[in-house]
Amino acid sequence: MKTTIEEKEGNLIAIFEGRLDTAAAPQCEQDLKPLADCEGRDIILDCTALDYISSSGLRLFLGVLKTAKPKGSHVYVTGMNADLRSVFTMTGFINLFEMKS
Amino acid sequence: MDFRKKINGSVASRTALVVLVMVAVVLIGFGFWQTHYVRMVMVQEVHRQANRSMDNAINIIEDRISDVETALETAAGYADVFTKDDELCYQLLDRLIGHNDDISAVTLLYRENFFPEHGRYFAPTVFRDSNEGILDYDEIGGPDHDFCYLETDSNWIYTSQHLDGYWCLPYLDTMSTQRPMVTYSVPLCEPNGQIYAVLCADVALDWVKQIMEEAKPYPYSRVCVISRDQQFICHPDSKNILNTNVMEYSRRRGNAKSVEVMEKMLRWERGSDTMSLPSKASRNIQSDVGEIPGRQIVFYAPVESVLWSVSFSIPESSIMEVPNRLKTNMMWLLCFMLALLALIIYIIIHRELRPLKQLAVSTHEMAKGNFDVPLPRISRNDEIGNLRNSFAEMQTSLENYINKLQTTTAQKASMESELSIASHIQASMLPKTYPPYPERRDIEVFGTQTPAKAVGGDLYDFYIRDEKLFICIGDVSGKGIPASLVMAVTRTLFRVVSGHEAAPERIVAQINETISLDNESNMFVTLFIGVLDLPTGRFRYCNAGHDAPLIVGTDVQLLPCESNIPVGIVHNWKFVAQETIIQPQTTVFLYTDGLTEAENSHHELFTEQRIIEVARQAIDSADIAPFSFINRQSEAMRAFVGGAEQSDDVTMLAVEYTKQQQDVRLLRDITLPNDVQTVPQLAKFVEGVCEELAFDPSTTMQLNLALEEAVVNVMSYAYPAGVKGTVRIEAQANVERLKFTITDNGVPFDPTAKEAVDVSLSAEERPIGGLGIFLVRELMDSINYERVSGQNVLTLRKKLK
Repeated sequence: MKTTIEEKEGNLIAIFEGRLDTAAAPQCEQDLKPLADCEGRDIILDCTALDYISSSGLRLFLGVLKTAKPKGSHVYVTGMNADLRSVFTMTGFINLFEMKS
Repeated sequence: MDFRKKINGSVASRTALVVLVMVAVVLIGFGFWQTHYVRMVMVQEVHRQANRSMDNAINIIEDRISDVETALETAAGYADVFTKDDELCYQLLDRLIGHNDDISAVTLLYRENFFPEHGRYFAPTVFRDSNEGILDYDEIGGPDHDFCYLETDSNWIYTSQHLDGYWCLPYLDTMSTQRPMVTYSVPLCEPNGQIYAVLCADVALDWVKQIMEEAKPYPYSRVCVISRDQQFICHPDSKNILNTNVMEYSRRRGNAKSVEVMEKMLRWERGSDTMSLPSKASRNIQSDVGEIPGRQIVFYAPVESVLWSVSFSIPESSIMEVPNRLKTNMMWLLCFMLALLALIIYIIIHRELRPLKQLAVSTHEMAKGNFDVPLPRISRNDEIGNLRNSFAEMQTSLENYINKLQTTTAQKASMESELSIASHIQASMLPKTYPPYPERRDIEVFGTQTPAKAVGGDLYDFYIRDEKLFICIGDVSGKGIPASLVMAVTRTLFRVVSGHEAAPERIVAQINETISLDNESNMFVTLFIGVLDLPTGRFRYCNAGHDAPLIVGTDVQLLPCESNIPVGIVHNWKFVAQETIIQPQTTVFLYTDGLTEAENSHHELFTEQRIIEVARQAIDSADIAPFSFINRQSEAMRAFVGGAEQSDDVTMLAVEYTKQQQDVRLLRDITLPNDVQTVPQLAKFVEGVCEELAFDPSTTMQLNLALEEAVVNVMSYAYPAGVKGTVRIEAQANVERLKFTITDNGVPFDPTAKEAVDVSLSAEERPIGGLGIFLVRELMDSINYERVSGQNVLTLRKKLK
C-alpha cells in the first residue's frame, strides 16, 4: 500500500495504490495528514490504482471530508473501479463525496 | 273463503253478523214460544167452540124429538074418541101430521079384526107427498090387509113388550122414499089396559144432517151421528148412512184410536180425543171423500133420548191454518227485519270507522318511512279522535327519533369504519405471508389470530435474524382498542429491541422498562419470547407470565417455564431466561389463554389437557407440520365450543424445527493472533477458498471485505487491550452455501447486537465507526452469533448460486 500527496493546479491530490485494509490504515492515516492544511484548496482522492478498501479505509476518507469541509474545501473522488463503487454505494459514501471522472 | 276474509277483515261486517245472529236467536226463541202459546189458545178455543156447538146440536135434536113424542103422547090421551071409528081415525092422523112438520107419515095399526069390514089388519096412514107437500091417505098392510105389523118382531115398530112410547132403530124407507127414517110408536089401550092399536109417526132424518151441518163449529169440521145399532145416521159420505157398521168402518180405516173413539161413542160417553188419519197415499186404506189427513180432534156426545151419539172431527191442520200462516208471515217479516237491521248496523259502523281506515292508510305510508304524510282530519272528540291525536304525537316523536337514530347510525358507521381500519392496521402488524421462508428447509412457521372484537389484544411475531428465529407471543390485559394499542406498542418494541439484542431476557427486560414507565392505565402484557438458534437447535427463552408452550416431538410435553411476572407491572424486574435444545423434527406450539379458556355453552373450558390430547393425536397421525397442527387445534376448539360466542382473542403459533445435514465440499481453517496486522494473511486464506470455489474477483473482494470486517471486530473487542489471544476462522462449503465460523476465547461479545448504522446521514452527522458489521450484513446472506462453552462463535453464510 502506498499513498502519495501531490499538489497540482492549486489542488491537493492523494494517490492511493494497492490494498487499503485495516493493517494498512494506520500508515495511510499518517500519509494523509498534510491534507489537513488544505486551506480552501480542493482535495482529489485518486483511487485509480486502489484495489481494495475496508471500513478502516472508509473511516480515513470520512476523516478527510470532516476536516476539509468546514474549511470550504471540496473533496472529490476519482477513478474508482466497479467493486469500490459498490462498496461506496452500499455504505452511502457515494452521497457524501463528489465524484470526478 | 272470500266471505270469511270479508268477515274477518271488517269490524262492520263482523259486528253486523254477531248482532244479527243474536237477534235472530232471541226472535226465533220468542217465535217458538209464541207459536206454542197461540196453538194452545187455539186448541182451547176450538174445544170451547166445539162443546158449544155440540150442546146446541144436541138440544135441537132433543127438542125436535121431544116435539114428536109430545104430539104422539098427547094424541094417545084422547085417541079413543077417534079411533073407534074407521072414518074418524083419519081425522086424528090428519091433525097429528098437520101440526108437526117433522112427521112425514102417521099410521094407526089396529089389532086383528078390529074393523072386520077393513080386513084382518086395518092400518090407516097419512103421509106427506114428498113432491107437493100435500097429504095423502092410504092403508098399508097389503091389498088384503092381512100383514100384521104388530106381531112382526121388527125394528120398525112397537112390540107388545113396550107399554110406553118407543123409538125404533133408524132405517131406510125402502118401500117409498129411500130416506133414512125413524119411527116413534105409542100403544093405545082399552080402559082395561089391553092394547087395541099402536099409533106410529115416521120421522125422516134429513133434518139431523141439516142440524148438524148448521151446528158444526167450523166449515171444515166433519159431522157424524151414529145410532145404537152401530149404524151411521149422519155421515159426510151419504152412501154410508144406514148402510155401514161403524165398528167395521173404523177398523177398515186401520186406526186403533178411531176404533177406541167409536167404542167410547157406543158407550154414550162425552169427551174429546186426538187421533191421526194417515194420508191416502201412505197406505191402501179406505178413506172418505173430502177428508183431510193428519191429526184430528174428535169431539163426541150422546143424544140420550134416542141413544144416538154425535161427533165432530176437526183436522188440526185446518185449525192451525191461520196460526201457521201467521207464523210463515212472521218468519218472512223477521227475515226482512234482520236483513234491514244488518244493513243499518253495517252502514253505521262502517261510517263510524271510516276515519280509522284513512288512519290505516296514513300509517301505512308512515311505515314506508314517509313521516310527512298528513293524518286524516277528525274533529270528533271520541275514542277515534283520541286515537288520531295519539297517532299525530307518535308521528312527531317517531320523526324526531328517526332523525336522532340517523345521526347516531352515521356516527356509529364512521366509528366502525375507523375500527375496521384499526383492525386492518393491526392485522398488517402480524406476519401474514405463509410459508414465510419457502427457501429454508430447517424451519417452518405458521401462526393465526382470531380477535374476539374487531381489534384484539393478542400479539405474535417472528422473524429470522442472523440465523436465529425470534418468536414472540403475548396477551395484553383487557380487550378492544386499549388492548390493541398496547399490543401495537409491544410488538414494535419486540422488533426494535430484538433487532440488536439476541438474549430473550434482555429483550423482555427492555420491553418491560418501556411499558412499565408511566403505566398509568395499569395495562400489562403476558409475553413469551424465544430465540431459536437455527444451526444448533439451541432455544433460549424468557417467559413473562405467559402460558408455557408445548414441545411436540416424539411425545408432548410442556416447556418448563419460570413464570417471572407479566411485562409492564414492576419496573426494573430481573427477568430470568431458560434454555433447552430443540431436537430436529419437533414442533414448538405457542398459544394464548383464548385457546385454553375457550368456553362452550355449558361454561366449560377447553383447557390445556384438551390441547395436549389434540397434540397427541397429531403425533399419532405423524403430522405435526405447523399449518395442519394449528388447523387441528382450531377444529377441536370449534367443535368443543359449538355455537357459543367467542369470549377472548385466540392466537396460536407453531414452529417446526427440521435441521438439515449437508455434505461438506470444502473445509479449511486458519488461526490468527489478535493482531490486525495479520489481516493480509486472512486475505490470502479467503482468496485461496474463493479460488477453490471458482468465485469471480468481485465476489472474492466482497468476501474478503466481510471477513476482514468480522475478524477485525472480534480482534478489537473480544480481548481487552493488551491481552493476547487467537481467532480461529473455519471455512466450510457444501453445494448450497459457504460458511465461515469465527471462534475466539475472549470475553462474551456479540457483534450482531450493535445497532445498525444509518447510511443516509450526512457527513457531519455520521459517527466514525459502526460500518464494519453493517458491511458484513450487507455482503453476507446471514450472520449468527452464539456463545458456546466459553467461546464466542460468529457464523457468516453466503449462498452459492
